[in-house]
Amino acid sequence: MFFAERPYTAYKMILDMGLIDYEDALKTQRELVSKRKLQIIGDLALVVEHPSVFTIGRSGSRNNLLVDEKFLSEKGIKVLDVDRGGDITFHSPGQLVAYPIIDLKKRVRDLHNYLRELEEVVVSFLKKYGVKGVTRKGSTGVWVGEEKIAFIGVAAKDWVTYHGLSVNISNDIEFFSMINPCGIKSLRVTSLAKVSRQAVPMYEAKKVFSSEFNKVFGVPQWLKKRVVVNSSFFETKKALADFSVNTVCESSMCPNQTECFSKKFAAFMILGKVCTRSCGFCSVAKGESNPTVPSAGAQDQSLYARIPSLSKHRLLGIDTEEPARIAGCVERLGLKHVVLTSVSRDDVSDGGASQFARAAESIRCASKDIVIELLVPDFGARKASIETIVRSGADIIGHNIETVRRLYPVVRSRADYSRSLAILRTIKELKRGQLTKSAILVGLGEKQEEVVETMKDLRASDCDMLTIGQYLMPGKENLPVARFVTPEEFGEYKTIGEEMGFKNVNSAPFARSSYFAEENFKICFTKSKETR
Amino acid sequence: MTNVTLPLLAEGVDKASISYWHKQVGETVKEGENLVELVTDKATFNMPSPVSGTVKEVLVSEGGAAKVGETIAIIE
Repeated sequence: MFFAERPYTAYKMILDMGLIDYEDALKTQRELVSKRKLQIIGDLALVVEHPSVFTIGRSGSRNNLLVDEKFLSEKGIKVLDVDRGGDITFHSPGQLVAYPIIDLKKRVRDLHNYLRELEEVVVSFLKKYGVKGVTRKGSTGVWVGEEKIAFIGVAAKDWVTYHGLSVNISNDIEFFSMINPCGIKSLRVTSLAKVSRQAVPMYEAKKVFSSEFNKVFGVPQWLKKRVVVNSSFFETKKALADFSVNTVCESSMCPNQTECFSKKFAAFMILGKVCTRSCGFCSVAKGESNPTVPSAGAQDQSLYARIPSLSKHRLLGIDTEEPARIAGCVERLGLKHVVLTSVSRDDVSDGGASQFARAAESIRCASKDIVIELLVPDFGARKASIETIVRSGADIIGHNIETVRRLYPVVRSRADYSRSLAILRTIKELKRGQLTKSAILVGLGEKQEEVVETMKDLRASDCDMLTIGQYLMPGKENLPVARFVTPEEFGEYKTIGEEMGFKNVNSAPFARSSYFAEENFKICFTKSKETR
Repeated sequence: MTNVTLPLLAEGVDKASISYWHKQVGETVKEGENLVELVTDKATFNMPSPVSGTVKEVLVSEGGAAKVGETIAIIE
């Protein structure tokens, strides 16, 4: 089973210019292209309808116009030679025309890939109306059965696009019999109203089209991910359900979730599903406390009565059986590297540190050689809690700085930049040689030099491993994406980080602290051995 | 003297046609100004001049095709 995982949409501007003369629309496009080239505006698309007009592209010929031009001019219909690719086509009211102004330098410098993306938009647009649009190899456009419904002809100035595509919605398709559309003799043409046998209002079609356009062009190409869902995916899901354990993969709406689950990997989230912090970037449920853990039978009741600490745990929603269940799930999944993280638990005296230790111990009991990575909250900087974590014998202890100092009030309002750095330092002070790890999410509004500053601060706290990934707005309530960082910039951070002395820098759009955690640890482990 | 070569317009597409020379031999052109229009499938590509100068030679005429990397004009 294939599907594109693309839950995040940054909206591109859609300008609906209504019914507008072809020449005026082209003039507007040229002005917008100049502005786009100067970076005055971002990517956008014009959505228009044209009064009746025939246009011939660069590969076209007047031989494909089958009627006398004089006859057309009497009717006030022009025939224009234009600078787009392709042959002859026809526009008239009732046809949806879209002119994307997109800087392909910021996506993929590939004109044919762009043509395929436009086809993708049309196919998903038609699908919304229950119509199956198909593309043909070697022939640009979209067909319904044997009839063509959408026409594509584009141009680019340097790598900024103009011209675009047209989709027949409710227009009179009889006019197409006056031409060999796209230069193809006796090509049959259809419209959405005709194939779907329903009236399709233009305002609605424009709305649907815009939304599908945004799904394809709203995020850069490098953030589109194709994932294969296999049987392992469902086995992972079942194991998580059988052992009733939570994962940060699901709670954080991680974009790698399908991929990781399909490789039988999951990162566990302990201490409940409710976090006592309210960070702007995170989609984990927020609240003051977790629901109490139900006690099963009468026997349990007496147990809780006899051991007061257990009862307290139950009321605080700390599930004393969670460590054992996680160990069971780890075994079922056959993990060789386990990542444990948690919600912040400011309502618990040790911040939940002992639960981490218990979980690590349970996992270690079940499988001796497993690599354990703990990704911990700041525990309100309680030293005793950090000691508990260090004593747990974890191979890696991580604490994510998440963002640059300046953005803390917005991104992590109840955390403290210096405190987070201090935690990493304390871990090292308590245990020399302990591998430590941290992560930064970029695209939240930070500047490049601020990212480098944060990397320096992490190194000053003797942090060994670093993850840098693209922030992707996980939900409507979360902070918007300020910027999509290019793969090249991620590459620069990797180089800078390695020069600074990080043992491993995992810097890529989809990098997350637990993504490829096993591989990154191995790199680090080998490097540690070499330097010893 | 600068050789203007045909850029790669799409992955796996090793040639393109020249559809329009914005500048003719003897004309001056500024860096970044449209020099030539190329066509591949249903797309045209207006290629800016890589340098300022005078068009010394046009090696592929309108309607002709060139391979990626092939010199299509010389600017001095």
